[in-house]
Amino acid sequence: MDIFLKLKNLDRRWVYVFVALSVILPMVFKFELPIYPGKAVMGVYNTIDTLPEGSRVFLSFDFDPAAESELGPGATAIFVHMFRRNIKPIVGCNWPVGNEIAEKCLTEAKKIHLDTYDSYLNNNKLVKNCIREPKNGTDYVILGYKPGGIIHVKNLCTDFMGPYPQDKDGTPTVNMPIFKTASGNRFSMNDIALIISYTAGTNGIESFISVEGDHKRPMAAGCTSVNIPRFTTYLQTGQLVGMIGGLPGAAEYEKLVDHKGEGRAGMAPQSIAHLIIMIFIILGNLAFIAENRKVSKSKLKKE
Amino acid sequence: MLFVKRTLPLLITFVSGIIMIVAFFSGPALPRIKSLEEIFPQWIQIIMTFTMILGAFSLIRFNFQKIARKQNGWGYSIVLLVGFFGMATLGMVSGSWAKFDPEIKENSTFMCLAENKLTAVEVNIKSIETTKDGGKIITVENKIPDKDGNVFTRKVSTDRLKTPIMSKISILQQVLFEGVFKSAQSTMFALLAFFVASASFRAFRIKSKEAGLLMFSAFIVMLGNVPLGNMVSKLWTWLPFIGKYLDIVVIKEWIISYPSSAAQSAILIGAMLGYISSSLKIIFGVERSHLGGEG
Amino acid sequence: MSVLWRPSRGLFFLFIMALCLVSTVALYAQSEVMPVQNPTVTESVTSENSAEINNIKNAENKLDSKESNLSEKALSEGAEAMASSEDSIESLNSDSNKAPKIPQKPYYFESSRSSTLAVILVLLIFVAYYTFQAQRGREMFIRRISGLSAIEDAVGRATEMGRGVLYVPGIMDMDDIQTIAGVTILGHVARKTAEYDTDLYSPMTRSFVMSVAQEVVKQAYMEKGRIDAYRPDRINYLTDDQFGYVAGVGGIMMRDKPAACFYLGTFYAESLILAETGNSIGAIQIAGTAEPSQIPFFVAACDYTLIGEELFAASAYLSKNPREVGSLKGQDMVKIVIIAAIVFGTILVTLSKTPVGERLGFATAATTFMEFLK
Repeated sequence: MDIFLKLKNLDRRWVYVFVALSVILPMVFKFELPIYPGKAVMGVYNTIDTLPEGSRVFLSFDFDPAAESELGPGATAIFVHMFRRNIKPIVGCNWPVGNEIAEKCLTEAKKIHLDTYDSYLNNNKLVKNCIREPKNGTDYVILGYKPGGIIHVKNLCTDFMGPYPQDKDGTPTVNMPIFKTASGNRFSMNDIALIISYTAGTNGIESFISVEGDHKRPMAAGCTSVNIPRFTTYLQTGQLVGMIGGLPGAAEYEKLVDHKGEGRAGMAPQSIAHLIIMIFIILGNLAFIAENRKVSKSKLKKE
Repeated sequence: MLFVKRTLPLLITFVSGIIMIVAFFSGPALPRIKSLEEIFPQWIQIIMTFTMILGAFSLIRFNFQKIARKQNGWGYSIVLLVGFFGMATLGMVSGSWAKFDPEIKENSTFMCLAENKLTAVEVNIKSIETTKDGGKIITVENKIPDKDGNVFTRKVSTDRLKTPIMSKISILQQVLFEGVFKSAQSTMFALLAFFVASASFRAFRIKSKEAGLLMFSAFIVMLGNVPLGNMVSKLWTWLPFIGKYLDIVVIKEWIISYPSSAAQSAILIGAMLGYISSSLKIIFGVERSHLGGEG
Repeated sequence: MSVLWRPSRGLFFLFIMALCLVSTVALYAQSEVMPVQNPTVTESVTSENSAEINNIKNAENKLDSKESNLSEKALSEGAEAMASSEDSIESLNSDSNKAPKIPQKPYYFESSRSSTLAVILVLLIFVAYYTFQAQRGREMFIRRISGLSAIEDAVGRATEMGRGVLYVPGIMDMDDIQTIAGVTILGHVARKTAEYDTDLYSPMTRSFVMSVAQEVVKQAYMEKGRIDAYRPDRINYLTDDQFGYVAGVGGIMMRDKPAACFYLGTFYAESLILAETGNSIGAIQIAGTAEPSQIPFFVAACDYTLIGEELFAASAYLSKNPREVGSLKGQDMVKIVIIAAIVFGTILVTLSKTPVGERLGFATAATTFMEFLK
């Protein structure tokens, strides 16, 4: 029992060493674990999969580099899925550096799409009018960051051209074919088939949910693992059609689009890290039990 | 003095608060009141922008003082000030210098930044198209052919065309942003993994039945969140009778959807009532200790 | 004006109501019926384009239905738009500047927000009643909140150890009520540090909060007659960046090793980093936030945690001001009303799902009740 008593005062740096090893070793000695997409991820996938060709989807990158490792892979996988289905992503950001990350994900997704285009075409897995190399302004656009959070989202419900007269590179948006509407009216949320927000904190999907009465569009979220319990409520109420929760969610989406990206690669380290944390919790409890026994024994002796 | 420090802020709070409440509930037939709902937050944004000057001034003064007095950790203050002035200068120069840039004309030479703004190549301006709203789309051609001898031509926006000096400044700014700022942010976020482990090792003790139940649920959620949960569930299918019901992922989803969600909703309802109540107390001047004093 | 500052015998609320009325009328008098900027209202009321109306209706149906997740019309519209010919660009350019249409029947009250108004009014009535009761001398019980009771012990411990106190009022700006609650408690902590002559460090993530906090702390030191000990440079601005701020606070913790750390306000991913760093230097830690996702981290790593509304109750708890304690009681009464509504709604919906309940009209009652709540 003494060994457990010693564990009680274990230097926290030992915990850090084990956690670091649990992440580094599976990255070096790669192995794969079976991934089965869950209900929440399937919700997003099925929604995108049933959208008609040419639909426009608004993606809001509401996170910063800190959450990129968790939310980036999922965003890339969704872009790939959209390009294969000829669905046109319109990207906005409620966080200042979101557009930089969006650009990075989009570039990666275009590359994946190009690399897999021929094999998918041969296997009849692409839609009829799928475009080999999606073009800026026609097949996708990154509008960039606008401050205001919920106020900005509310403005978008009426008109996109007002808040975004130019895209993030300064190209005027008014002439872009992606913003054409059948009715000839100004482009607004009414022309969007689905809203997806990648949320790391404030000004994320909740900004869109708050003005749901104004836009009345279906919504989905990508969120960091810590936010999963919070957003699950919105899944239950039907306000979200699906959710990509953290890196496991991204891995599930990558599995669905048949891509081995950072999400799937991250599953082995994450699984082992979870296991290590669980082992430490068990060890901590063994130390606690050992200490309690010692205290009760010493009490008995005194009596 | 008391009027300026206490009475005036309370009056402003009261009037603004009431106006915002009235604006929130007014319909489109009262457009002037309704528009305040959008105008007031814009005012807040403007005020917040001005407070940045206050913050910057405080930061510089505090760190200069620290260096002058050689207080504990004054070396870090030097790093901070160098970073502060360096990034501010780079940002201001690259943002405002465009006005002093030579005009983009056909057949002139510029440096064209790559999409990620981390590299630049020398290009010739082939043609300039002006759009209806005054924007420009420029066709450029690489000055140096690639190794196969091909000259690459593409259309770019004006913001990517820079003079050699300005392209270097933009690249330096981008390198610092990508290499220092983004990496530092990710590093701080990654620390969470270590801290979660050490905090749970120290704090997750089965001191009562409830704590035991909590730990059991935590284990299921931790397992169910990663593919390891699928493997464990598969192993348990070998158990007779109950094995097929022990799907970790399904149990995890139940825990998150019901007990956890219910608890979160309860906390949220309480917090939101506190929010409304505190807001009303502040608007009506019942709560005023944030202005200093006992209230 | 003294009525506003010392609200007694209900005059306070009469005054408020009068001012509400005056400001509403004054603003209304200035306004005139103008073209409405609200698209949802105009389009749903007056748009001649039936496709758009159908679109919105379909989307509404979608939201009501659990089975169908997407409005067919909403989905197909994007495709239709893209399929339309190139020649519509010109017409788009001219049309995109069209002014929104004028509604036929503009209304004065946003009825879709009536449920919010009902909650506010009910809360206001309860808070007003119990505040009035408290002022008349009625004893109000307020349960012990151990985190708040421990504030004095924590400052005392720091004094005994000859180390400072660190206070973080969250990472959001003054427009967040949690930050205001945090700054309010900072005033109480500052009074204690002034009394015990202990160093108070309060690095800030927003410059606006910094200037307010400096004023609050200065006032607290003045009250205790220790203005000489007030150090504004210790209530300093670090950065607006979340993780930059955490790094800065972590540095202060490791260098100055405060014996007591307070984290009261809005926190996100930085909560655990702060709390674990505080734990590593052996500080006694008191945290409080209304962010549900961060509460578990604080509970695991801190000695005391104020959960959700306890943070907002802190001011009343610490000051024991009858007006504020009365408002807490009013808040609790509204909570009882909400609990009753939840229980009643659950029973009603459960009964409506049974064959007997359906026959007895519970289904209609349940639908009506849910509509009323919406």
